[in-house]
Amino acid sequence: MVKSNLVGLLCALVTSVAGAHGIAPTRLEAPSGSKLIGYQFKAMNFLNRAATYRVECYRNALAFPQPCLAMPKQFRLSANGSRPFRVRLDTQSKDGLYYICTAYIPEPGEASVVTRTCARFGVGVDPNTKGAEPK
Amino acid sequence: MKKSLLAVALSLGVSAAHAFSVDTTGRVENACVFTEVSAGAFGTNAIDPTKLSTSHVGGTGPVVSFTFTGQPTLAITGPDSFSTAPTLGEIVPVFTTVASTTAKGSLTFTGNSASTVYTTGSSDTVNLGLEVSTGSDTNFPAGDFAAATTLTCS
Repeated sequence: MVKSNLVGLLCALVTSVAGAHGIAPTRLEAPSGSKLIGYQFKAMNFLNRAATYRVECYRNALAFPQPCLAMPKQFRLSANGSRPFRVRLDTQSKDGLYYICTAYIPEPGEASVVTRTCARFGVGVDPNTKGAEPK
Repeated sequence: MKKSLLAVALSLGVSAAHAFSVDTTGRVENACVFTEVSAGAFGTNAIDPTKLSTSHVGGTGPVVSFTFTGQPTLAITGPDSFSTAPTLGEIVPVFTTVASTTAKGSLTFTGNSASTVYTTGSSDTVNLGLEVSTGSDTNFPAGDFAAATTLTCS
């Protein structure tokens, strides 16, 4: 019992931080069959401290990462700061819903919640209606 | 009198020909801003050494608030591995994430993910919970554990 208590005390998870951030624009469309898509987005940090963000791309669902060229791929924003970043993505002529996201990178010691804000880039699909169904 | 009526009619006609409209335009963005609310912590696993849970005594689930405009989708993806853990040996941990929100109630998970679309309101609070089991009668070893849940707004 003493041992169990000790284990319990040792495995406390102590931190949780969600980044307050945004991306703009959040809805874009390209014609069906577009092979290359790209755009200059704006990343915004609403935290009152500097924070680091990474650009991530997905296709059709957040479980399917999609290679993309982001410049820069990762950046640090000052408190309440913003900056533009460019993304270019080879769709290989596959229509679908592409997610261009900025993910908050937790500081050391922060781990339990990671937040991600995404723009939806519809290629041959409506970015507003394709995706998760209303509950 | 006849001339007067004609003059009135002409003036009305001229007036109608000059009618015009003015557009009012605007754009609604689908956007979210997450805000940190409170920390998450596993409680003591003294009652069941094979489980770690935010619902155990002393534990607390992360709570995240966010504001939004438009009709965004919120997706929650629970962890399928620890980001920090001691050597687990033969243990293959089983993760179960739960979530409920003030506006939507309990969210249904398929696998380790759930999502919901907001069509009304402008803010919500997400209450998260996490339970991890060793999947056997083997106890978790002593050490620090951490696992990350991802919230995505699109």
